[in-house]
Amino acid sequence: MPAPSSTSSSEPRRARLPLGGLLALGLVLAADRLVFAEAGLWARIVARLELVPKALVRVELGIARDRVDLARLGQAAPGVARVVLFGNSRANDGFQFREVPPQFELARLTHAPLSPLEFRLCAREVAAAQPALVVALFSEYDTHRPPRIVPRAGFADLRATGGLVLDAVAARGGWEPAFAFEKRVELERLGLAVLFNAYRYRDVLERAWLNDALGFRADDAGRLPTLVSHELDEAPARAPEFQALRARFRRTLGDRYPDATLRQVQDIGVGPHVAANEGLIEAAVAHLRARGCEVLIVEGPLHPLSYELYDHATTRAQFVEFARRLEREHGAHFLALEDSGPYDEGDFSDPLHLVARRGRELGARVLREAAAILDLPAPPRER
Amino acid sequence: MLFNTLDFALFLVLVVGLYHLLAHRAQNVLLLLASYWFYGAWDWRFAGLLFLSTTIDYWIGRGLGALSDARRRRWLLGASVAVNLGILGSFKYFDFFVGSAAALLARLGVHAPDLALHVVLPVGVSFYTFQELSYTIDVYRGQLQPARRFVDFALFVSFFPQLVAGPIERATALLPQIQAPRRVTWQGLRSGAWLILWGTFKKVFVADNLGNLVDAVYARDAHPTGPEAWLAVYAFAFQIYGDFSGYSDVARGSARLLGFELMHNFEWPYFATSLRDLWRRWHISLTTWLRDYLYIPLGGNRVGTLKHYRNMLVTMLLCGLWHGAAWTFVVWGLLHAAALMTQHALTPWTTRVLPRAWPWKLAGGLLAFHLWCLFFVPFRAADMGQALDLWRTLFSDGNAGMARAWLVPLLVYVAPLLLVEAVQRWRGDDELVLRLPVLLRASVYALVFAALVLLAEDHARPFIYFQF
Repeated sequence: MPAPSSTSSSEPRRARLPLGGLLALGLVLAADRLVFAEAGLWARIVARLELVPKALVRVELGIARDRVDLARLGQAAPGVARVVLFGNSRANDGFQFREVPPQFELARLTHAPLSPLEFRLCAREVAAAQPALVVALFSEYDTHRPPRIVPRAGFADLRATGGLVLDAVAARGGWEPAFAFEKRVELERLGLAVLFNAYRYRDVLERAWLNDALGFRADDAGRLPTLVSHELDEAPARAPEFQALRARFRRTLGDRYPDATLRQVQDIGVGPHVAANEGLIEAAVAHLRARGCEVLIVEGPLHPLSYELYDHATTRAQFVEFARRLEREHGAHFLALEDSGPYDEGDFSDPLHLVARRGRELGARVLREAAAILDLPAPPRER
Repeated sequence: MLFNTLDFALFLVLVVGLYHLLAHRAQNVLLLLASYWFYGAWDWRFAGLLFLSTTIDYWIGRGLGALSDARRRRWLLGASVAVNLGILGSFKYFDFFVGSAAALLARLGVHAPDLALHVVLPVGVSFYTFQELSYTIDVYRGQLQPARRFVDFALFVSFFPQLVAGPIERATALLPQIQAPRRVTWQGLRSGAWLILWGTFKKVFVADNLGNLVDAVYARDAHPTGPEAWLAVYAFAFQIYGDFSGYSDVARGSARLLGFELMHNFEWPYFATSLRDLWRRWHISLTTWLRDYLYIPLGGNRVGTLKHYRNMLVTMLLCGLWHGAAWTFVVWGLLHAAALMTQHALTPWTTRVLPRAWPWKLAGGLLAFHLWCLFFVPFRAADMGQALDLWRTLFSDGNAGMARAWLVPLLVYVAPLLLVEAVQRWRGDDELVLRLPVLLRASVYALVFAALVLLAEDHARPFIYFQF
């Protein structure tokens, strides 16, 4: 056995500062702040990521473009209505525009895996860009699926993250104690991500520079070495009637979508996560409204067959009730499915996403609604 | 609760913070409660099993201390062995032996009913039962006074830093530290914090990242090429080393924050010059346990050649079985036994014929390392069929496949570990970093921390040795 640690009550007092550790922490924190404070960083990241095969950087490119778009919005000419579009890939496909009317300046925060959590975390930074309107595409797909508290896509808002963690600890803001305990590891990671941007955006940094610097190359299957575990994290869709349903999907969609999309739809359900998700959206809406920003919640559609994979009637009713409450209590606006529909099977490219034509129609409908909210001339209808 | 989670970091900060506010006996109570909380985080039911075996061995120890009649003492020791091996046998080995017997009978055309218990293996059971056995055997041998206070003994069995994956501490080393007031020193806090950081690096940066590569080759539906399989075989050797020695480092570091000193479990094994040397440096707490409580009682090397080989064979076979109840572990143990016996048989010749210069030591080290890697194939494989397939692939399919893409990551994840260990080995000091000038030291800390922040896995992987 090695000798027990020797020491020292006789060591001089000044030696009892963990100098090495403090210096290292200071170094890491300073480097982190220095790198991420650079004005042109995100534009350079976007330029680098555009050189990588799209399939490998779909999410990372979205995260980087968010920051570039928001910075651009903050510098928009006066007199133009600044609008932020928010949502996951369904919003990306749903908010399509042949051309944006000159009275609007748009910033798109629309890519996977943006969720109510990121909506809450980005609220402060979005408000700082002084948008007249924030348009968010949500539905029961967002409020009724267990939240994935992954820090990578979110914004490093210390106050919002701290508030979120405190809400979870104190069982406020929709967090049930047992649910908060179940999610503690993710919440702890979120806390760490606030301290270190490099931790939060490490996937982005890896794809943009680090993989090249280390000599990592995509393998024959198009995967980066660091991606392997993510790629293996796939499970087949559940439900005994899955094969029959899949055959019905195939009639209009073929086999173009992965089973994972069906699994995501199957995750929609009632549980303690619903209140937590709603709490995140509500906190973001309250923050934006308090800063004079209009908020429009657009109800996003799913493929009509997808509704057979979960209790659509109950979950949708709950979502609509929640959106109506945001209207009543926070002065938000709500564009329900009935106001932008109807949607049929031919409007979808997979169980979740709209085809481009239908996305442009929804985009035009959203712009008309935005113009009405902001008292601007109505843009022309989509043909 | 895994060492490589923020959950554990918060737990440790809380325990260490409270610990330093309390007096000695209250510290032991706190550590006992914290240890049961730590263990119960997996499954509270198994905390009951831990408590039961602790209680039984505590009273057996008291009985052994009080009795002088040799026959009754032997009975008590037998009871302790039966209880501990009974627990281990029921939870770990029963299904294996019953299943193997049923398979054998089925080959003979006899259909046996399914008697398997299908129970989950309690985490750490192989470690704490061995630790308790060492206690009762040492008390029986008169090498140790039995613990008087139940709290002290219960803490010896359940001490959270080493409860679930060792090091398997001897009562002669750990109990006195529990019974006497401890002094937490500044040096202990510094070195403890460094061991935790370095151990986490070995686990999260080295082992978990290499695990992706290993998993891809050992997946059920994988059909690796020869070069891919070679890379995975090398990668697994470093994955399991990073994983297990990383755990041991975090265990030792956490213990030091509380004023305890746990034994070294690894001493730069991949710088060994022979297979026997490698075994002296690998999982030292298990190998010395097997030496002291199995190999030497069997006669060790102070018997005739045949009996000596029998002793090596039995020891390595049980070493394999300790790791898991499967034929793959039996084969792993037998392969090592065969290799060690061969080395022993050739030693008189090699010492006479081969010069003792460093190139021969290097060659011996390389040979040992490659045998070590190849023997790990059944250890990691799901079954012997997969192991045989992989061995065949290693020497047949020369297609590069993904090997080119994987070679650089393998080097990136392994090189920092080897570099640091080479310097440590050269200077014979595994805490050399703590003696570097402050700027250099801070740079090492910052690099290790930055690697963890930037290149760690998203999800905390369990430690490999938890399954044993």
